[in-house]
Amino acid sequence: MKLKYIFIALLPLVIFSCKPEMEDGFKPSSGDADFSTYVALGNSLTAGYADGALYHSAQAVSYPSIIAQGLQEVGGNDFIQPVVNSEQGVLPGKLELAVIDGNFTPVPAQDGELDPFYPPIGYAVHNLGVPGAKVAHLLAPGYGNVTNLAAGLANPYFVRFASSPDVTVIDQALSMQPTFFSLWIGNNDVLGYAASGGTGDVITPIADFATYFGGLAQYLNSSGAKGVLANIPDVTTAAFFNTVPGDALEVDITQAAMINVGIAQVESKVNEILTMAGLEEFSYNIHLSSGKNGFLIQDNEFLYRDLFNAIADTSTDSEMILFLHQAQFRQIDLAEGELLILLTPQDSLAMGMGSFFEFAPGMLLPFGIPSRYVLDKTELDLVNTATEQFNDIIKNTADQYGWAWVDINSKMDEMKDGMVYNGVSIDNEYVTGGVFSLDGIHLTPRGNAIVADLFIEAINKKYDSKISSVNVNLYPGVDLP
Amino acid sequence: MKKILILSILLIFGLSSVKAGGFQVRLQGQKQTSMGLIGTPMNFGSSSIFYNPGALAMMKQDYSFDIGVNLINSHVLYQSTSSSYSAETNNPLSTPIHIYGAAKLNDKLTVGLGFYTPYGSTTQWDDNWAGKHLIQNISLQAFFVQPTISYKIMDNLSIGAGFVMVNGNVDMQKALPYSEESNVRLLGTDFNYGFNVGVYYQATSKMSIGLDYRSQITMKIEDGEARFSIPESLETMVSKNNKFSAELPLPANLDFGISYQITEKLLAAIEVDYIFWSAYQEISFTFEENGDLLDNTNPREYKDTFVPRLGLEYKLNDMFTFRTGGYYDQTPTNEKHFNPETVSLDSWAYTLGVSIKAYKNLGIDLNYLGIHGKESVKEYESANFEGRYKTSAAIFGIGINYNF
Repeated sequence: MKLKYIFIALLPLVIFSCKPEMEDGFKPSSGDADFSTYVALGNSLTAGYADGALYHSAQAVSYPSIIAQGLQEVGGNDFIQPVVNSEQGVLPGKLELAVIDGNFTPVPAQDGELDPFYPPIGYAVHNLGVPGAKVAHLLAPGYGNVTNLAAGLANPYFVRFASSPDVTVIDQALSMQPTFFSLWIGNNDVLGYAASGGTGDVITPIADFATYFGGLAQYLNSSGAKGVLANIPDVTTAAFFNTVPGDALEVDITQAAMINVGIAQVESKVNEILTMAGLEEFSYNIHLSSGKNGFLIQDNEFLYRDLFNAIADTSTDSEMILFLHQAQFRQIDLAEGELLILLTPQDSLAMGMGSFFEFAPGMLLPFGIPSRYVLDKTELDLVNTATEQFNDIIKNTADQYGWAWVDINSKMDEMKDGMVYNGVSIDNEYVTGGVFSLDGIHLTPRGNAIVADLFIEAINKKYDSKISSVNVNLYPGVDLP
Repeated sequence: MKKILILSILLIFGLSSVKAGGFQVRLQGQKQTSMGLIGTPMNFGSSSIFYNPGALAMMKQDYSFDIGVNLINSHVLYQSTSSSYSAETNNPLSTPIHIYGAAKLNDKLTVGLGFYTPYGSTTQWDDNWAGKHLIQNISLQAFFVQPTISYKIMDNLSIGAGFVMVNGNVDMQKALPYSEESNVRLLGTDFNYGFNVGVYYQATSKMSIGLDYRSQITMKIEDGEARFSIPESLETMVSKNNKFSAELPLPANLDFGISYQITEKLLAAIEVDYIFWSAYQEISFTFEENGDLLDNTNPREYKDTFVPRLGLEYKLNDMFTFRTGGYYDQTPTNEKHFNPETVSLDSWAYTLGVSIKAYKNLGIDLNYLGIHGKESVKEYESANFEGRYKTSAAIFGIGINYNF
């Protein structure tokens, strides 16, 4: 009798360690799409390029590989990337972060030997992102042929994994018999131009872009696979264009006065030349005051550009020639959104480049920031127009074929003001923002996670699927030293 | 550039501490715990020091000693609302204890001393869980000492008051987004005091009524230690070893209960507790160094809660008395400011227990308490952190009392 009660009293011990279990909650499902074989097409962003290189640990967290992890819960098979074994990359250029004079500064990384890009890796891959590829390149035969490298018609990154020398990227992708694809291409069709301040590369003409992009879409559609297209971000939202402030010419009152005198000297000398040529008087209309001022930049549309260049060509006076070139400057127009690129030599900015330098004792010469570092308003207009037009084509194509569409452009624009993911604030700030890697253009693992999350959101919306969202803050930003 | 970096600390500093609502269980007596934690209208000897000092003067014997311990095994489950990601706390077993002693000085006056630990829990998430930037682990310990005096005004009416002294410690850690290893750990301690007053009224031979008020005690941490594990490059900007101060209210409680002897063997009791959680509106942290960058205020906006309780006691014979009960505990948390450091959900609880008169004046009490937090989706808006939560706790307790 008593024993029975004691037994009952001890019963709770048995159920002591019960754990709760969720009753409702997220249940992954594939919806209307078949995710068994996923193939990713694109450029360096798709490849997993970061910090100026395509290296092992960054590639491992490329956005397609993050998407593929989510797809595994909804029937996705293994997702194979052309694995780079080296932490240094395939081609030189990897950066790492150092602290120099108390400032975070990217410096060349030393992470061992590079991986060879030839001979090819010899296995089939699902991630066909090729760093540097423009839209046309995905359709170009021989783009992966090592013998075309010298002529600039091939890309070492595609040489690495091309299944045969003359296969096109798109054909190789379709040979994987994808049931689902992602295509994020077009960034390089404007980026090369923008990143060189309009001095290198050209923007792909809109008609060409439409042809190539339409061609790609037709191929993809013919395969019967469903897919997702992403638009391209306004490149000027990247940290690459927003890190070097245009107004960082900081001077005290004495320096301001000195520079203003310098401008006046240059101006009178310019006017001497103009008077001789029978032209009207000219003024730079620049007046520096103490504090922050806009930098001086090389002026591609200087009013007397042709005249000055012509005189310089015929002159033998080296000091005069220098003057004629240097005098073609103006102040950066920040109201118009003109930008300096990340590669602008920063150590020489303050009181050096972008202002004046003392050419000879007592003689100040303007030192306009060279055009290759400046995205001026003319160039900005071209970049913006092209981006808008390309994005229209991308959106229309997605609509035409009934594919999902990712609005990366809007997200990157939001990122300018920052956002908060699970307690971590992120924005497009260089180094500290957590999104852009050290090259200022490509993404950190956290940036890739955000992109993957956007893709998944768009896929879920279009195909009524339930692919797990990405835990963005479990992927690192830029690790500080 | 660096200034912006540091500014991003602000938001993620959403720390607070008290183990709230669902876990503010009052395990300060085995018999009360067995009856749905009803104690105000009960006369269970020296453990009335906590539940109702007013009832202490009504104790039947001249001396009463009571010592007990509870083993708390608690779990919090988290699941993302948009993915199959889930996480679970790995809380160590926590073991709050209580010790009471009371003596009748004369027919009217009884004095007592109580030691109890009502906030003795630890929430430990995985260091790399999805909410690591909000909280990785937090432990709060509070030791209460309460000298008490109780006076019998009439044969059926007594009052009592206790002076409550609290020594509280908090230790918490959260990740910082600068590198894999970056985190901040905050350690603080405070000594503070409040009071506990109660009235006990034996309305009829069968019915008794109790009313108790425990004052709010605001824990004020001054000179708390803030240890920043941060990359070397940031050490010039943020001091690695900083001091902080913060204030945290332990809310006041107003309890009212009635017990009724239905038959000779069966007693029923009800109680309603009002908990003044609205005292907890926000938590602010002030730092000794780098204050301009680190100081921050985080909204909590708790609301008062109301806990109804029901308990039954069945006296089988002189040796065995069985008890059972239950209650419903609402979460005091605000819909928009639900931080995983304090996962408190609307909860059902049920209790069981047995008292065994083991030998002469020596009694043994065993109790079990099961708490089930209702699965709910909650959000911490300022951190954009949403999830589905579920909680459970199983508590097993044992106590020994000696009355003579």
